[in-house]
Amino acid sequence: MTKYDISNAIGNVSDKFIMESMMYSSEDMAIDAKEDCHSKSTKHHSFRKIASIAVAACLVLALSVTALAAAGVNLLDYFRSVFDSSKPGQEEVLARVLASGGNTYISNGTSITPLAVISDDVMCYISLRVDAPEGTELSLPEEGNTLQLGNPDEWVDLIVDQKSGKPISGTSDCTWSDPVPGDNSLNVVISYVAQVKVASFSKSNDIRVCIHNIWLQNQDKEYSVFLEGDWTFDFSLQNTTPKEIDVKGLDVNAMLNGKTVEWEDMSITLKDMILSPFYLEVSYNYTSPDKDNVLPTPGTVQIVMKDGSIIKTNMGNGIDTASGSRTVYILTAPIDLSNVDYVQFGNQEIPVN
Amino acid sequence: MDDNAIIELFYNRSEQAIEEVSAKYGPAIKRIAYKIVGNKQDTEECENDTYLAAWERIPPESPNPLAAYLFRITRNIATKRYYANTAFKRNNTYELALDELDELIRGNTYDPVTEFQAKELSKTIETFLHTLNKEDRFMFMRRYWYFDSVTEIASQMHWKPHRVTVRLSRIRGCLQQYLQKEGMIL
Repeated sequence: MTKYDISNAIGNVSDKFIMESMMYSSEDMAIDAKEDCHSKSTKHHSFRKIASIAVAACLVLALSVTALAAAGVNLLDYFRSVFDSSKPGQEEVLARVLASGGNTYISNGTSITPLAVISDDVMCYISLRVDAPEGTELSLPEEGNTLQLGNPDEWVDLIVDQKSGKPISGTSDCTWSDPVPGDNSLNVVISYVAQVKVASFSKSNDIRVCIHNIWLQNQDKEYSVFLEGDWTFDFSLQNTTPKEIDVKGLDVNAMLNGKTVEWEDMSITLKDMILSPFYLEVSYNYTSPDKDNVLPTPGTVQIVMKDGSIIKTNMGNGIDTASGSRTVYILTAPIDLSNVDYVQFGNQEIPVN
Repeated sequence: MDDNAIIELFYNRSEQAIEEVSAKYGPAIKRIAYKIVGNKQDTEECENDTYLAAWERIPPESPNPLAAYLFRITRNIATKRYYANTAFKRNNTYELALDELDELIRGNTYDPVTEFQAKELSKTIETFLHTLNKEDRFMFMRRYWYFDSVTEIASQMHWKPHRVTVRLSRIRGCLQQYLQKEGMIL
């Protein structure tokens, strides 16, 4: 037996393995050859390429949960740049909160195609693919420079309520990736956190996403146009109901600079807690000897699943008052609420199920 | 165009079938061929040979899924062209992948396999693939079926290349043990 025999044997495996691993290849419609392999009918091909990407994307946004599974679409693939590595049940979590709507929009020769949109009442993740005109290579900027979907000097609200036209207050972050280096495409996931107690995707579940140019911000925080255009997408988000957890009156060890402090006049007392597949929202009162300069924090905030795995969190937005705080903690991976064991909030382990 | 509609064009002997296949799968076919042959001219010839093979076989064949059927033809054509071309330039990606597979059989004799043994080997590797989780299976297929480089796989999976290298090494180790257990290799 030789290495060629093994390679040939691998070549003869069942079609289902070829199709299963075709996922990234099917999105990559451009060859990454060092030499130019495009034929004379490139323009014709590129129009069809964009059209077929749009069809694929619209299918994702229009299909039901069972249809997605039957089509072999793994929603997690569209959000790998923002979520930690996958755990069982996460794909079903995403499928339950999949939005509908959104078509490929072409502006100035650049097309943006929505791949998938998932949301709950506070978080909205929008996965997009950007295709520059054929022949234009798109690559991630050098370290220190970032791509942005907004410029303070030419401000356009990123997400607005379709019915009222008013912006949905919140904070956004963009995570760019280049699945196939050397081609004319980039992917971006917009992570949007609605401002706590001010905005909600449950109240505004028909949204419009507006992108005015794609900008390059350099290390000196100066902006220049990376791709020029105006793109608009309408989505209908799913309604979701987060889980309320009974925490009233629980005391948490106050922490300062990562260390537990035991000052008698510093404490954290929980008021309420809400858990959703994408976030944890906690309200607590605190006392501090010097509220102007010393704000106690709870320390570690994470979700512990029934199988022992841990989902860490990043701090989102919140409201701080003279005596309390309401904070959104963004989960680093989506969770199935039925598989949660407890929330670790500082020194407290708060059972969920 | 839907695959069923394309198959119907083949059955009606309409040349539009080739146009539709080219539009839908052409770039992926070229990519698979280029990974193996490593140059533009051979890539284009492999692409055209793929369309010709499909035209000659459909009908009576009615492949489903069409993509896997075409990709498999391309892979076979490209590997044959690679070795038949006496003036070939060493294609690093393809040869590196093969060298990695060579590790599995180090110490074994290089006796030619019979057709029966080749079929058994394919079945055994398929069964092995079933034992892998989806991530590992994706990596394995992208490396040894599609001949993606480690960097390309890492980029697609948003991993660091070193992590992919280490994982592929472990998967090869598992495959070696599996083939030994099944008596395919010593």
